[in-house]
Amino acid sequence: MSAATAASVELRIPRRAEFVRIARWMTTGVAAQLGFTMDIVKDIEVALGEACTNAVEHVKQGRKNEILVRFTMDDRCLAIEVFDYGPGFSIDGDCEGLGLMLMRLCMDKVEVACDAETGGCVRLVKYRDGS
Amino acid sequence: MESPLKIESRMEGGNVGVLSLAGEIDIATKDRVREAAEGLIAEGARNLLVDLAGVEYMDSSGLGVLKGLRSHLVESGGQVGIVSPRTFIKKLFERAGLDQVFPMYEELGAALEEVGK
Repeated sequence: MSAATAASVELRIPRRAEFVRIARWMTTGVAAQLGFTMDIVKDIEVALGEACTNAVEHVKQGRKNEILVRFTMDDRCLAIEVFDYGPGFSIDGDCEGLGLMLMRLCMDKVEVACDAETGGCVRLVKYRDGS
Repeated sequence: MESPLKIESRMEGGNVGVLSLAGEIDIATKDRVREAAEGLIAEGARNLLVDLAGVEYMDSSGLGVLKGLRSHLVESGGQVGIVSPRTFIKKLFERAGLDQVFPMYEELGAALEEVGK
């Protein structure tokens, strides 16, 4: 799979606690398909679980009552974006919670953004060569 | 939707509560863990042993519940011990800086012997 043939897969789940595990299960499938070791697959699952948990716990009202998870993969990396359709949020380093800390420890890159259309977005990146 | 977490709880030796968990501890199941533990505390448990041998997944939701239970029990001189965590779970405790906070035991018999002293 080259950059030119990068592929995306999307999953929409209701923004409810009992659906977070469905997103986790799909994540393990995608990560395993890309050849990550089982330890790294578990790390990616935890990071995605934390991002979705954050969306369920902190977004009480949003444009939609759902979470969009978008997986984008190419030769270089797996990127997972979690959109919460909420009002958005910022991260203050002093107030960083355990969930975000685990995301950072489990992934190579974690970015947070906000968009009027899709609300808060957590972007999780894992490089395929481990760099 | 069927719950992905099975919980068994029992008292041992009067003041030790044992929670045996199997499956997944996440945002959807964490409250059941807390409620089961609180039930044991209400029965008189001063110490809790949480057997994680059957737990395949846990995240900050589960860690948060265990931290809360520990805070509560430590106040009254008790403790929460973790029993038989899988490698992945051990790593999670280490990453969260909690591996030195919770006593860890390889198996339940040794944990009961230690905590029941």
